[in-house]
Amino acid sequence: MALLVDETATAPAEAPPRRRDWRQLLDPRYLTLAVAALVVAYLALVPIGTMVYSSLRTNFLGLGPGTWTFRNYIDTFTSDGFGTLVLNSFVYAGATAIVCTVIGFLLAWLVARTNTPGKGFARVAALVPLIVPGILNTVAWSLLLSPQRGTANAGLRHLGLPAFNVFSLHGMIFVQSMHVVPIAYLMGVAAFASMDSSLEEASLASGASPWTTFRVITLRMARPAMLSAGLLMFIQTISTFEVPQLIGVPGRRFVFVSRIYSALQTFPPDYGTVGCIGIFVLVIAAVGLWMSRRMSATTAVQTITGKGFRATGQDIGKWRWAGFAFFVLFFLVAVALPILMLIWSSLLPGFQQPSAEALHQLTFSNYAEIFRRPGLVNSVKNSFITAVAAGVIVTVLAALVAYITVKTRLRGRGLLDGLATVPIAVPSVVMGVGILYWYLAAPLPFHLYGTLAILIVAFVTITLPYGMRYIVPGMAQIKDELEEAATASGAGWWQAFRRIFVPLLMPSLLAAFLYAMIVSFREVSAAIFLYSSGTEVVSIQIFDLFSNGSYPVVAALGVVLVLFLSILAGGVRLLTRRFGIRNG
Amino acid sequence: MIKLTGVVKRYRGRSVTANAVDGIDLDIPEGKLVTLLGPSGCGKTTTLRLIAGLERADSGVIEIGGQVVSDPARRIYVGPHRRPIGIVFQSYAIWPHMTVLQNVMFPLVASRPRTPKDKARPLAMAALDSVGLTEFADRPAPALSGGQQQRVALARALVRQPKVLLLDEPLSNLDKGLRGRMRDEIREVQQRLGITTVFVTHDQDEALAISDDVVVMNTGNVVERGLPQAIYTSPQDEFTARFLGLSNNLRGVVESAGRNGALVNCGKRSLLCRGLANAAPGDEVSLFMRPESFRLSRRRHSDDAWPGTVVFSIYHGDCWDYHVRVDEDVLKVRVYQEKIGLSHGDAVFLEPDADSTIVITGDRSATGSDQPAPDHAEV
Repeated sequence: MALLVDETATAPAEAPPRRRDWRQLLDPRYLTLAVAALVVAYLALVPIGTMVYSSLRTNFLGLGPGTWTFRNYIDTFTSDGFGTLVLNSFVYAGATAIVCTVIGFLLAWLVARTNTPGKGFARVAALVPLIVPGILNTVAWSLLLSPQRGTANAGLRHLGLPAFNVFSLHGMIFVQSMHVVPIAYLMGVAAFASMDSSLEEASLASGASPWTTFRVITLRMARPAMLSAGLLMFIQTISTFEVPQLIGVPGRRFVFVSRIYSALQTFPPDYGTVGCIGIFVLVIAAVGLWMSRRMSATTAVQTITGKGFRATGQDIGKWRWAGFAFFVLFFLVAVALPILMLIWSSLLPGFQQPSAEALHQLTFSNYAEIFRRPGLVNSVKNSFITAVAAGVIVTVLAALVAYITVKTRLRGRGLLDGLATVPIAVPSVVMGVGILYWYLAAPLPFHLYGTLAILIVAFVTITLPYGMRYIVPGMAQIKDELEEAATASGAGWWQAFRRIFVPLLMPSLLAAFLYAMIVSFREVSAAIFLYSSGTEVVSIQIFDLFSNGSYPVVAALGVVLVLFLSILAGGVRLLTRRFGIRNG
Repeated sequence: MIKLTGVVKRYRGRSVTANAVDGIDLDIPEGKLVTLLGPSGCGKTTTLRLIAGLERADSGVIEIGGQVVSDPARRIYVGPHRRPIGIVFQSYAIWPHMTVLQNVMFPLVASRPRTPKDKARPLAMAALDSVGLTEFADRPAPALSGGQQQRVALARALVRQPKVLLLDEPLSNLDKGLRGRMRDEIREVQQRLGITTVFVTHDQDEALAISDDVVVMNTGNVVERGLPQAIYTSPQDEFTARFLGLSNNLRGVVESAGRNGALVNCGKRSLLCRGLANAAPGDEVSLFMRPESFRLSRRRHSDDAWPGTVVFSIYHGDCWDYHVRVDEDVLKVRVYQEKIGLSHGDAVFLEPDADSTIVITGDRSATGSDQPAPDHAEV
């Protein structure tokens, strides 16, 4: 409750010396805020705490009593193959980070700072992979590039080129890059758009050639943003599940995430090892995030200058056609190919290569199949329940927390803000395992494991920072006087919140809600540890069906899911555009 | 030194009717400081950027020092890095990842022919010295204040001794006191080096104070050009008159013209305007009067005084501003007499000062930029 003691209540000098009325703490305002703060603290700290605990205990979740130990760490770090595991993980995440930072920033520069034709098209193309869930991207690419039967490989062989075996470290890097490029692109656009173009013009006017200017000024100015983006890509890559499991494991390339999964699949599960690797990944992610934040913080201050600010497109002459070719290539490879692959396989009864005969077999039966399989219908229902519930809870929670951090002077609000962003630094896999451990081990009066509630808890925790990101700027835009005027008109705190903040924040709240829903629908990395028979969500069903080889149904389900998510994403975009919400 | 002939710049996606720069002719003689003055969107910054080569003209010829640097008809376009220019931006555009000295050295080491580093350093130090920033040489650039960044930008623009110095609203980000000082400093440096300079601003005081020549621009065209004092005392164009704060505008008709001037009738009042020799009775003219050019009193001192009523008064400390209704017109009057203290509804008499009244004949204002030299409109 220390969070919720109002500083201003004790501030005036003439007030009686430090006497707090206990009734003040029962004020609905404080009660509501206290509950919100406690929930956030619980959500943020429990998974990490449990993870740390499990890594330091013998016999965790076992029958007998356990003791404190470092044995798990020593065993894990000295076990055979741990070196290879670390190496694979770092090469995989590092190379992915480099590849997608280069591609993403090149796209961003072409779109934001040059006169390359087809920018509008590139803008959309670069964001499509953001809508396609990672699991579907992975599925599509393994259909395209599997060494024997892959459609794209058949094409390559047709041209006399060697086939590309996706089930390798290169394959993992490639597929993951195609998926995370949009994030690098968005960060690149933000960096280039906030860079005053007179900095480059000053260089040209100083007699430096365009190439020198690009190297010495543009790239140099973008460097902190690029490093920061690269680190984020690294964290994202090292902590997600789909590619390592579906592409790495068939090629016998293990990284942290797939190692954690396999350790939990063995019997008896090796909880200690999982805990240690989880903490290892958590530390990597936290350090990376911290460095990334520091770098982007320094750039933001530096590049944006005063009044005469303008960011104009630079004429790059004939090179703009090379830029255009790059747009087209990117679109074909990263966007068109996987989506067409999904559509194609969804329309055929069994997996086969595109051909004239295959055209005669086109059918919608796979789409009908979605409704015929009882497990599938159930998983769609589960996804809806969990996504909507997570969306509502995150929106309410983020609104209350944003109110505390932006609009009050309550002690500890900075800490609360920090807690609400902690989940960003926690890899989804660690989140999933941490939550799993807690609800298996903790002496709670209720049982969440095996229910949809545990998935909702995970989704709420994972999406909370994103909800904050939409709502905090909106809250900051609302002037204090608006609330004061309501209070002066006799409205209680809760009434003022409901009748002033909620309506004014509605676009931000809706955007946060829809975004939380999108993330929940796509999420696999945490859900894979938390579902049980009967509580599968769509993304888990896709994973299962694909592992069993039911490609056509997976593809059909995927196409429907992508369409649905596109509509949600369109809604977010419309809201942010119309109401000018800035989402950082 | 700089010559623009029929230069046009269109911005794509805007309505076809409004060109950013609409066929400008401009000749800037060597060693002069010429100001481009106008409201925002008048094309003054675009003109400057065309001279720098940061924008490509759609047509017309631009010459710097006798060399054609841009002529789309002949497919000539010299990039900004090959033009002998130095430029100071409104935002200064000091590269934040370099020190002050690195910023100033950059033009020397980046442009061709390259200056070796050991020679570039003393040159850059000399440039910093000329703006009084020697001791800041090794500071990181963002650590400087606005005025200091401004000086660094100036040193950087001058360090490779360009033929032309371009200044794009360099003072508008500074606070008021500093602005005047920097303005004088820029003028001092410019005159000392004798460098041809184009100065873009929307601030008339700045333009009048600093220039050899003022070019007034509006909607992508040159409206009028002349010496600062000529532009101020006898603008040839209604736009210029309004832009320079001649807030009282009356329409009138010439009643009679003679050797002493013309008698102009505006409604129930009339005024003898000297110097309007070539006017014929019946000509429609526009009269512009500065707020401070009236004599205001409670009593009628002469037959020429106009009777009016005070509708509004503002006290500024050193002067009073009154809005005086004279028949259907409301005139703004400024009086530098603290004791006068008129208030709303008081009846007063206004004596216009015929000598400082500016008369612009109707056909002149319509023809816009094709003005003869400003020497005979003064009254």
